[in-house]
Amino acid sequence: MTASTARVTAAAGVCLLAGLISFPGAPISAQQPAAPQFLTTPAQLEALDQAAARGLDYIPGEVIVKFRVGVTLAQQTRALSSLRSRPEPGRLEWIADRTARLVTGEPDAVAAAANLTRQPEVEYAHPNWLLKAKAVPNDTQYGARQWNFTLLDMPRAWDINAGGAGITVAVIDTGVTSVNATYGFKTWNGTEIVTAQMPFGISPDMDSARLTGGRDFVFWTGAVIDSQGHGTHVAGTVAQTTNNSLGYAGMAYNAKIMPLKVCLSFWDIQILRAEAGVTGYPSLNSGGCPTSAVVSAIRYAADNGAKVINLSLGGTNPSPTYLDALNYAVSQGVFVAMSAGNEFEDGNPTTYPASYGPQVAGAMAVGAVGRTSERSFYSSTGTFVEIAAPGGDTRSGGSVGAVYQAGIFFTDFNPAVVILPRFDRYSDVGSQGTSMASPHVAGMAALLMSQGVKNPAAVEALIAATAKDLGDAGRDNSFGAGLIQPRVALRGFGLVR
Amino acid sequence: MTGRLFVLMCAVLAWSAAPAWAQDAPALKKASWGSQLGLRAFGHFEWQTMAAKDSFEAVTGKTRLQGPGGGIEVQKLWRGVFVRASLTRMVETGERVFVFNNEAISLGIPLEITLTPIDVAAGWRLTPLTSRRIVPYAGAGLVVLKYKETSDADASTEGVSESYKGLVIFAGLEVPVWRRVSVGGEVGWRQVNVPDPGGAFEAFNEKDLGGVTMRLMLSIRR
Repeated sequence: MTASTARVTAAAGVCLLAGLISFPGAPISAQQPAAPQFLTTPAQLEALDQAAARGLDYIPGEVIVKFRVGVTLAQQTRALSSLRSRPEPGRLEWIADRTARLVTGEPDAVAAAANLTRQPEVEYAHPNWLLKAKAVPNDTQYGARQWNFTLLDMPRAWDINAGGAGITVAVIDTGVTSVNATYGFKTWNGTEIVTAQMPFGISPDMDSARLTGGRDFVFWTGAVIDSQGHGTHVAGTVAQTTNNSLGYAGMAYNAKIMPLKVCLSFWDIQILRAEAGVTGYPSLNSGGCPTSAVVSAIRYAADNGAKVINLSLGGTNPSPTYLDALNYAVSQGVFVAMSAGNEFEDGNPTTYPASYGPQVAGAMAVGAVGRTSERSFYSSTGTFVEIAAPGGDTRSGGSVGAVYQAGIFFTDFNPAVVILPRFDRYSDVGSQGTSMASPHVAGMAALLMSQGVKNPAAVEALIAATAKDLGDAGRDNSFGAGLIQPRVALRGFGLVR
Repeated sequence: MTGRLFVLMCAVLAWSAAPAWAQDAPALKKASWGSQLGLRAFGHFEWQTMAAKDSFEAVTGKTRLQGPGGGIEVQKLWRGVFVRASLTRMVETGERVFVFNNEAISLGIPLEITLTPIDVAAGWRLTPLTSRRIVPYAGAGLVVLKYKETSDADASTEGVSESYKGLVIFAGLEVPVWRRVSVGGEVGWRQVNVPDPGGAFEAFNEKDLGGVTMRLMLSIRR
């Protein structure tokens, strides 16, 4: 789609100035990568624009369909002929066994899915739901205050297992920048489409050698980049480089991170639009994480060596596709941590895929607590909540009640004010949400796997069995089994105690 | 450790027995069946097949522990009645675990378990069975089991050091081998329940730190 220029920036000699961790100086060398291709077609971009404009939580025109066992090509054709647009089976983009993403060409994906569901050849169909990152951004000007790790007694947990060496954690999110490069992306500058040099940089508080096997499922075929910051923050909680006299610590600081980008940010949409020749700005709430990408990423992680997956994403629409993918991941020996949702004060709807957690031994829905171990004001509750971890609560704890990690310097890319963004500078970023809670559990799972507990169902059982009971006695809908206790879990059990 | 304790125990036996050997021969006659009070010291080596075999298998990889011990016995309180107190020390190493679906997952954290049962029992020594003076006996009593569980990863408050109470029964045979020295073999059974157990005991629904015991004994009368 475009020839992008990449410049390798100096990774050495980072500086910390006024809370800003940046890559200093000019690029010291340049390289030309194989021209990456954007993954979103103009039609899909249009659909995403529509979704943002109409406030939809699905991509108009797209359906996820799963056919029954033994359905032939002819039968697939017959089932698809039930749609007005009569798409051919060749338009099916397979994302799993018998499960495909289908661009129907019909604007009402809900109706199209309902129509397909009625066909005898179809096991289920639903719109390609758009999930949202489950974090509430917070002020970025506060220093490192990782009360969360103190609450979890992490220093003593690390005495037993120093950081989850040998385990790969897939962070399925907005991406984690895995390259130091400057790309020439097209963007709208307010009057015209221009090519702007947008620098991206690996967090100086994330050892680049521990970023492995990343893949972008939504933006392009190039290196994984994060133009929103959510994935970077989440990855930091899982595995921020620790004991490096810089920034923050991470739960499993010797684990590897597999960054899998499944969410399109405002800037991703902006770039894709401009590359497609679309003028103007997208809506500030543009983007999201298509179910098709999330499911593909789960399977990709399971097939490519990840042993833990973090899903700090969620939506309010069910999809058996998630359940299939979660079961597949667990069958491949992968534990999955999922954020339980931040909508307690918005009607407290059930969150997906988290609500499938109780059905999958080896996948857990994670609620959030603040500094005082009380349920965070936003943390969704329900029978699906299985465990709790620090997610921050600035309402009860003030700004220092957020979960802090090294994150992309928000001022550099704030969509509300920035025209030409950059994504290569890092600062202290405090966020709250079950998005922040889930990576604590993912990191803990990495520690446990590194300690020898390889079965995802056993990891879940151990996390639950050693949790500190909070709220009502026993399991409850706010905290599940309670607050995770990494040291207790890592110690395991003796003979009588 | 176990070997040193056994040697020490034998030395104590030898010391305690020495004055008796220095006495004259009639003293031996006085100590015969049905006569006056007798005092006996003994050392033993014990094997205990654990009742909680799943838990011990999970943590230590073994279902039988062993160790040396010793005790004293007052004989002929009335006819063949005797009372005795004995102590055994069994040490075993293993790893901390997590039990999932009845399968133990080792966590690579070394663990040392020390069981020290202290038996206080009474019994009856029967008439010698043969001309070789093989003496059968049996008894029962109480046991206080000192239990200790330590690990390198433990903080000061995390180890286990507790005492549990239970019952013991036993029966054995002894044979005089030289002057006041006898050897014998004994089988027994201890039941020492742990109230509200956790750990592997809870996972396997076991609670008994006792089991079937077998002792080889070396005793000397004073």
